[in-house]
Amino acid sequence: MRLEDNKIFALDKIPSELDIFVVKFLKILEKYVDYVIISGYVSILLGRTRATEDIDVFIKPMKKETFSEFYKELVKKDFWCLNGESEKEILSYLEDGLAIRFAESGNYAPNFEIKYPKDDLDQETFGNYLTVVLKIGEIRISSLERQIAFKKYYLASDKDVEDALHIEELFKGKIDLEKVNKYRELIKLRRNL
Amino acid sequence: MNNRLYMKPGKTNKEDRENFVKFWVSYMKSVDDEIWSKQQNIVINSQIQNTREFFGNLNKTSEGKNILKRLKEERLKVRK
Repeated sequence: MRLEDNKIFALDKIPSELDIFVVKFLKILEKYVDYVIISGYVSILLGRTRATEDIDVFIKPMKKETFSEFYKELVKKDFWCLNGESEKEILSYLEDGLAIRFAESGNYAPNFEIKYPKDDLDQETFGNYLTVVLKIGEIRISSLERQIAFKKYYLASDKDVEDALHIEELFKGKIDLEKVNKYRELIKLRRNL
Repeated sequence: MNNRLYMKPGKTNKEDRENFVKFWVSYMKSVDDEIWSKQQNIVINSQIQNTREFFGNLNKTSEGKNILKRLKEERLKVRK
């Protein structure tokens, strides 16, 4: 696995069932909207020895028509929404700032948890992402610095701190610590709002 | 020559888990991606399989079906 510019090459990594599920879903999602994967799956994609049931992803706000096409293709390709079946209802959850989940029809996990960014700090993810290149496809993830800061200073459970440690150890010397601290300050500010 | 890596045990569960994370990354760096990812996949794929079996078994009984229905309702209370 090697980091070069804004890409992480992992072409020899054997894809897990989770990676295959993620790439299958993203091949549909990316046709309709910009996305960035955040949270736990990132450290798993980068080699951490744990699993997860959900893959968190930010998407940019979608027009009703675009969402409709996206949803229809998902259903056609055998995915279902865990939050309902009506397109209008599902889109309204997103617009209300809620997360919606999709899994392969008949399954509840693993699932994609999709949400709109809720403030500038979330929105910034889109200007600052990395692409992980696997043999089965490409996956956009939020920056390593953001991952580390959110895991250590926002989520902060044992599991999250270990996820951050994994990324810090794996990319030692390549992480911009000033950036991590900047995120830490922004997280503090968000907490105090 | 013995190239085996050894993990330092932690004094607490937390320290031990963190030591394993560091140990695992050292191992990842010492072998090809194909080697470590095979092992990682055992962890990930088995959990996915367990989850699928769990939900599949629930679907086989009326009590299980009720639980699934309640789960679906809970999922509607999606978090902010």
